[in-house]
Amino acid sequence: MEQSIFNTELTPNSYNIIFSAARWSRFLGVVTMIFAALIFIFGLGLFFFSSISQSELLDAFNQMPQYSFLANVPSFAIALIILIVALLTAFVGYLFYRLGVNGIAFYHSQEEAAFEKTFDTAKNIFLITSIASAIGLLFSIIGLFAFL
Amino acid sequence: MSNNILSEKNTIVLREAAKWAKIFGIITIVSLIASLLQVMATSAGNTTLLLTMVFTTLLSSSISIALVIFLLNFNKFITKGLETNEMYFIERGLNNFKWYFALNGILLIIALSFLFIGLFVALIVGAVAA
Repeated sequence: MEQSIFNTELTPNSYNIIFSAARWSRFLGVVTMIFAALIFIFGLGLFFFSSISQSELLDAFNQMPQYSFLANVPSFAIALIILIVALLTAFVGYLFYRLGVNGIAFYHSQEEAAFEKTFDTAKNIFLITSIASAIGLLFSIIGLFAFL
Repeated sequence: MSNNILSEKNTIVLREAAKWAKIFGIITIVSLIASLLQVMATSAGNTTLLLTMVFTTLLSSSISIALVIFLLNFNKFITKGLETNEMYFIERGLNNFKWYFALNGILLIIALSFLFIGLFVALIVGAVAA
């Protein structure tokens, strides 16, 4: 068969590699979603049954000078941040799980659509984690400048 | 069974995934540098603390660096494979993609093992104390 840039055959080994990646991704997805549920429960607990006072938060953040700028944030706002983080973690977990399911489906069916879904989900995982990491990096830089 | 797996649409999707993997890898490297600078800034003046913190940060960063290498290699080999139409490079790229997930999974298993050992020890200590 004549091959062009857009018409490449995958080797049998490539199918096995994608299958292996998919199984790991499914495992990561399940554990990440459980972890997100734990963060969610902790966040709700902090929001509804919070006994942490503003002064306790101030003391905690004063232990970490780079995060001292967070000391003035009220406890309910921190609980909301925890909830958002939990939802984001759950969504990433779901994407890992979806990648796993699609990858395994591709291995068994060898359909183009399953391949497309697998790598489209991988793109979304890298996209979302890039945005989350960039936000984290921004906070690190703010913290660094706040400390200096 | 479809032989033409890497159609134009699939090639675009694979290329996009590789591109975002590279972006994520670069952001991770910048984050590691930022955390190292943060550690050095907060521990300045105390040499022992500074050395301990830098060593700890570098040790934990080494795992992240390994993950970043897999992501960057995934991008490098997939891009090269799609440009040259060489299946060898695409396979190497996919292999790096697999190892990125595998290493994450292995690290997660290790972390969970430590967590369960910690919980088990805490339960025993609690039971003995009671």
